Amino acid sequence: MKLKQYHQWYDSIRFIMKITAVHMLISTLMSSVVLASPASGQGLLDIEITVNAEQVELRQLLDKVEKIATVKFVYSPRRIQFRQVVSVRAEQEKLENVLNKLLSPLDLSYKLIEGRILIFKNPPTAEAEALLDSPVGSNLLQVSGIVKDEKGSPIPGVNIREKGTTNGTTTDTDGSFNISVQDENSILVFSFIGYSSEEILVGAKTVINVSLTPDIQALQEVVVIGYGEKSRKLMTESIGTVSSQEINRLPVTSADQALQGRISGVQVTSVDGTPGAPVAIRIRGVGTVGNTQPLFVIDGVPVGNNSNEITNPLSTINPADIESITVLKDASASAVYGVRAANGVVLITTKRGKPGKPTISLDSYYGVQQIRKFNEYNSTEEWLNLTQEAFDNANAQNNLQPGDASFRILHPDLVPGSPLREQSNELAWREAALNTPAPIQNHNISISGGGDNYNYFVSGGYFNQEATVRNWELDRYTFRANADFKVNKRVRFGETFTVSYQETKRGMNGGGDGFLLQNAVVMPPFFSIYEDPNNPIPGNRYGYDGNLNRAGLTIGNQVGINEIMYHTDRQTRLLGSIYGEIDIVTGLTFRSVASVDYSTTQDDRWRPEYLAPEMGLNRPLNEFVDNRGHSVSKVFTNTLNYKKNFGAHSIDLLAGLEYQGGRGSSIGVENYNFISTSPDFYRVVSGGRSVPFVTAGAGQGAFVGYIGRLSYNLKEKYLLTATVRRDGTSNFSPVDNRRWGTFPSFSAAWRVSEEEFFNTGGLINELKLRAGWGQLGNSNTSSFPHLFRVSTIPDYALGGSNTVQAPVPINFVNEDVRWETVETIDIGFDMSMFNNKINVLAAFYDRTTKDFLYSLPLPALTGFQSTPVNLGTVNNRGIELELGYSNTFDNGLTMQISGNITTVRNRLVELAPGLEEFTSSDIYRTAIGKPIGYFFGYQTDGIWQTQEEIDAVFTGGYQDFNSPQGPRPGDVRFVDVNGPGVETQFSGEPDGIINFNDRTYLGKTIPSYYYGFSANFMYKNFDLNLLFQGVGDVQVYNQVRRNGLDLIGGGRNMLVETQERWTGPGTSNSIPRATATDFNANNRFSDRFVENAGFLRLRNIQVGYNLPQSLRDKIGGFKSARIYVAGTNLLTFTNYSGMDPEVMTYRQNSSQIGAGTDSGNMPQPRIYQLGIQLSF
Amino acid sequence: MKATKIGIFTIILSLSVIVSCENRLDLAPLGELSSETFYRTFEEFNAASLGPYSTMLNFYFDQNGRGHYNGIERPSDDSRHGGQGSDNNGDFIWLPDNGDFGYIYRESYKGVMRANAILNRIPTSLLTDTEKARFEAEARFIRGHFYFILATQFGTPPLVKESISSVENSRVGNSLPGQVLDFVEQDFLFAKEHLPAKWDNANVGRASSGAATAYLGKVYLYREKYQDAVTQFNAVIASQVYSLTNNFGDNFAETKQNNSESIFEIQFSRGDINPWLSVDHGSNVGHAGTGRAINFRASCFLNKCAPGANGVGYGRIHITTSLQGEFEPNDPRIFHTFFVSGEDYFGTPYDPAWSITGATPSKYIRDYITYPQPNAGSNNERLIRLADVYLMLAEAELLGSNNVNRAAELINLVRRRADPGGAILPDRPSAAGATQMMEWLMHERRVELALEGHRYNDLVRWHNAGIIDIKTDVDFGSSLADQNWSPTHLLKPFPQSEIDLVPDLSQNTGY
Repeated sequence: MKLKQYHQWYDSIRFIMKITAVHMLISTLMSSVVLASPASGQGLLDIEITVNAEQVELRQLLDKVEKIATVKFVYSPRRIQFRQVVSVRAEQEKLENVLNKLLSPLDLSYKLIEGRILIFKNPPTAEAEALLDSPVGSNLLQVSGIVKDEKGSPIPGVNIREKGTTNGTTTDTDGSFNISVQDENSILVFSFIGYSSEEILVGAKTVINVSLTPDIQALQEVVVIGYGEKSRKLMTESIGTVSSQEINRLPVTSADQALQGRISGVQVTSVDGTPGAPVAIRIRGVGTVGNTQPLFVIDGVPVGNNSNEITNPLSTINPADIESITVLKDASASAVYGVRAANGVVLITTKRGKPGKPTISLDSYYGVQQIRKFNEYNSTEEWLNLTQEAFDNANAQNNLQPGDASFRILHPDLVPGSPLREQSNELAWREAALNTPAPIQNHNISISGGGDNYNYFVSGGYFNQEATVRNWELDRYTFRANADFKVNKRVRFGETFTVSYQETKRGMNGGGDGFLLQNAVVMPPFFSIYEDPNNPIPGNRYGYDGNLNRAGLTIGNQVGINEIMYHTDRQTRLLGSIYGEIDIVTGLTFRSVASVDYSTTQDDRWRPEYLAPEMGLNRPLNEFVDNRGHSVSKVFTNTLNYKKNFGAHSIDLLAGLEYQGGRGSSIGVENYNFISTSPDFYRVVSGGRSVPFVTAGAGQGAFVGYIGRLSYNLKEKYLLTATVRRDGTSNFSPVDNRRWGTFPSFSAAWRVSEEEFFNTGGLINELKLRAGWGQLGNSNTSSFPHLFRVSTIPDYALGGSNTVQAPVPINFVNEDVRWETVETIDIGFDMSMFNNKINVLAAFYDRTTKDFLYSLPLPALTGFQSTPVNLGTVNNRGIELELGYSNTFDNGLTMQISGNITTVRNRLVELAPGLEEFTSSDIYRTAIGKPIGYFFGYQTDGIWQTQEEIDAVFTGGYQDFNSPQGPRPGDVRFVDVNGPGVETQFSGEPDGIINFNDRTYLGKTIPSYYYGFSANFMYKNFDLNLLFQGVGDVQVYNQVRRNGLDLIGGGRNMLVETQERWTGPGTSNSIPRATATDFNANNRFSDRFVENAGFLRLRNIQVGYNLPQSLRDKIGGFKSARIYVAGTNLLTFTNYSGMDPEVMTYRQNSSQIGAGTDSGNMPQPRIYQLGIQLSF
Repeated sequence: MKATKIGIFTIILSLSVIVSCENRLDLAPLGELSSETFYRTFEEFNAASLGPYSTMLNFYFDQNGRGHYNGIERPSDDSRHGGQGSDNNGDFIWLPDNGDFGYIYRESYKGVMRANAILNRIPTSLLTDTEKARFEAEARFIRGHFYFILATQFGTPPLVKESISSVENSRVGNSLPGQVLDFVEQDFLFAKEHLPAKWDNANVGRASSGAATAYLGKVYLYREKYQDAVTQFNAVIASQVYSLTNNFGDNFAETKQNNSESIFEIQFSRGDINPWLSVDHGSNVGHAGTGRAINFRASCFLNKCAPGANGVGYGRIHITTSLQGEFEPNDPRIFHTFFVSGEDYFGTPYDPAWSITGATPSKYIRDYITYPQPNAGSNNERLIRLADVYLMLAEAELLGSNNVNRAAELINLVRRRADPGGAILPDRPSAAGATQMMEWLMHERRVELALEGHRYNDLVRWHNAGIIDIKTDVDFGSSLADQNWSPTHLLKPFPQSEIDLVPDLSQNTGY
């Protein structure tokens, strides 16, 4: 025992000596002046030295002295507070005197042993050595006390730690604690969330009562910024953060969903409510018509724009591992990310260990998901009535007589007396597609801790979510190991490593779409799902009913097909990085980070053979497809960081270089006609009996960036940040430096409240004014637009059979493509009032994107569909406001309320010369003076009620080109608003002709404002958390409604709303008549199908109970234990008629153009959740 | 001192990293060719010259009939859609957002672009002058083909003469009337001059001099330059490369592709993987026959279904009663045009109740090889065959110089081949006079060339020449179509998306 102790002690000495040698190499760069006179041959202690050190750490000073006096100091860092700050001045004084002057006040002594100077704590050597040799803890001091808040109420759960050790405890319910410490020199650190931590020297005290003071709110928190950290109070930039606590409150697959409603200026929309669904993030409006997703950076590693159309790449990061998410909103904050920062940057920081004993945390929840609202469809009787009426009206309008081939009659299967009329399955189809209640569960375990020289965080997680439609399930396994090591006082290393495996079973929801439900509910209501026992299908292998040619209709039974398909995609992702940091001299740090983001995918799909009688579709050959891909992104970042205070001046300088290279490839093989349908057999693609068909692809790209940033403050009162980044990308032409861009930014802030003249009598505690300007870039577009590229894909058959490659050009060459540049102005203030109980943050932003990149639809006459161009200018401006209130009342109730709102005004300012607008589809247009990608179509004015009304208008050449026979009573009344112009395309005046020129603005997909509101209450052991979130003044194209109000009858089922249709004058002024030949094109895209989709949603409500100490002790010594129940999406207030107002066009998450179509996406589910959080 | 060294070392290291990083930006697309590495040698041009050809396949592969079937064939009075009620294309509810017409427009210009790309690269290639002329001729033939479609369908389509190199130059407005066909004439004249009369077996399917000559004659005929047309058609005949096949049905049999009557065929090939996609898509191999297999096959009407019919989804082209009635009784060509009651239809007696009109196409369908994928097909589309040239020549002779005798002679050549004995299809006597002969000619074209994509163009040409009035003389087989047809429908509307993108492009009258 004794021997072992000695060895430990000896090892630490040897260790110090080794490092000292390294320090010699770099200490010449140190700022303090240390000079030694020539050694005079006297004893070591008589060497005369000159030292002039002001406020340096003891260890640093000793290092200097070692060097100049060529002596060796030996001490135990465990015993001596060698980081304490000291000052000493000596002019040609003997070392002995200097050491006395230095060490005595510190209660330290020294002794010369064999040419080395041993430094030890008083009392003298013998006792010191005895102490060193004694077993740890034999001589401990007992300290106890009570921790109270500023009002004198005891605080339970306060963390108490002996500084520099792993020793610690927490206060119990009455705020009392009991701890053993090494000796009277021990320092106790008291910390509790929301309060400033307190350090107290134990000294002679055995009872220590502490009163904690509230933290000056968030203003003192340290925020992660690009390539560094910054104190929030010294921030000049616009940055928003979300903590792990908030992230983990929501049962979500990916952390980006947790940003919803939390930060002003950040709009988050899930494309649909399915597991792992893509998430659209818009920061301060829509800055480009192209890819408008922000850049995601995980632990300093840029991982792209997260713009996958089908899945969410971020879902491979376990939200429970995330410490915080920082959103860089303005140019000044984002400019260090240069060309990829135009749409903002989302920094994700994962958890790291904190000094102390290992803490094990367990976190589990289980929930069930349901659907809030359904679209309702007709019964068979209603379907028949509508169809008959549509046929009668069409026959009458066209003077068709029975016997004419075009005369519409009900199919023989549906004439009165037919058995099909007797079954009405509209609800059965819905139920058969649904999987409710669908379970969702999540389990995490983490172990974290550390000592003075290291920390670690290790975690494992399992997440499982079933979709609310059948045969769709996501499983995810994640593992993480983060650690930091202090090699010595100057060198640090650390790493982050995460591996995740995600597997999604999808059935026939091949591309990930959630339209199974929509496809099921529009089945004609007299169709059956399962085989009809009265009319069995010979040889039916699956039991489903293809409804082959029932009533002249055959529609694939997707519910059935979904059940017999096997389709799983898998993703394995490894994201690892290692960094090293060296403090070259005090304040100057060199940091190098290398990382690899590697992911592989395997997507395989089996479809058995089936025939139309079984499934409504003929697929006579079975098929197995195996697609695999891998991608790797390597990032290498080197930065130099210099921090220094010169009296009242403080600077923080950053310079760096970053390289990122990526490469990916994929290969897919498909084969058919497998001899067996056994799942264990068909998984090997070579088992099929056809010739396997192979597809493959590959791509690559690279970025190089130079980074520079200066932060300066004077007396922490006047703050300035200047940033520049120069970036190059492989994407663009090297000619004329088009691949290089430089992005500067500046921001400044003035903490008015620090001025002497500022005396508010306690009303305002903190007031900071800030302003910033900067430029950012965006290079997101299809790669290599400047190269004339040729694909060998098409082929042609010579001699009628000899198929050969027929290479063709595949892109419109545009050599001029370069960065788009976003210029941002940001002005705002931060304020805290009433003893920091109320916080206000307000900002005005103005972002102008110049030369925005867009894949411009080309005229078809070019032979191409589109090409990347620098197309025009778009402006976003608005106001962000965040308000927070927190207070702890006398009765112990703690309340935190915060709200935020953001306004967005999006306008296209200009397009390329000669272009005023362009369309991207039949319903979306982008034009100068309007928001990007607005809806355009016909305006309507109710329903024509009588022929007289029509004749009064349709006279003298007035006509509707879409309505060859003119409207009839019961048809929709379309409005003539426009005609061809003389000099411009449109006159803006009615011209007596309704045609394509009359399509006009009908709404926009970018909300005018969005907001969030959260409230947290804590009372005794209970807590209650609420999160509301909403958007306003936004429109959605309800395609489900348009299809469901198609009143031609005879086909797929229609919405029950069709029962309100026009059947005679005065019966309806909104739903037209049924007519089988819709000659008036009533269903053309018009304002009838563009709906207001603003909503307010109770996103989450959570009630938790913290088990008191007594109970925890009984169960088994938990540090903390909380159980909670929660509900997600419980309440939604909206006028939108579809299933969910929070919806985006499927596969359109990354671009705002064409983003507002509801095609029947699965809605966000309601989730009821029960969870437990334990730590011990 | 050491520190200084380390500092210098660090700086040098950083600089070298920077330099090597900047070089790493010089990347190129993977798995593709580029202008740097392609369009140089004969071998490369020999492959690239097929790119424009492959574009032609895009008119035929689509299961929904986009391209040829919906846009070219459906509007004619030979066919109608299979359901009750209305069908926009067949019933002349033609709107500028019509996807089928937009597709024809888009794919035609894609063909033009691919031809122009080759023409653009020839001057800087390593080819000999002879090779240059040959590849130029091939590219110009295909470009002429697509511009002929554009001009006949849209009237005054934008004229793109060479590769467009900038977005600014991409907004080309309408051409002047006749300008595009002038350009087409020049292309076919060059092609006629520089293409071989015949290709070796490995290259069968490439355009020949005879194909260019016949196509040139066709352009002249459409432009009412009858004498020029006569000259070109006579040159085709005089070349003695072509002769009518003995059996009419050989022209639609997969086993008799590229036969003696064939002047230009679009070469379909069999692809075994995915017949639903175009060749441009990449997971298919030239499988252009799917559209025909789906559109021509018999389907269902009310509750009666043909074997293999997939609900009402398949079988979109139905033979109108007016075409059925156009055939003289027992005309042997009926067998190769549509199915009649009781005939063997893939093992089942044909039932007219399967179709709304009582008849569905047998042309190209009767004699094609089925694959494991029954919807696939690789039976070549015959674009120009000698019988068509005979009848076009007859028309030119008749309308240009009132040469009734020559017209009768040519018409009778076609009739004799169909009915060698003449018992069913007796000779047309020239004594009947020009008007009667023109009617006989119109009849002959309709029955000989039914479903081969000529009929609506013929009607429009004759309407424009004042020979018929479509409104009064034509029965489209649908009362809605008859009601709706107006002279507006002589041309198709330009796609609305194109009007939106090209400010100088004016819509055709009436749309």
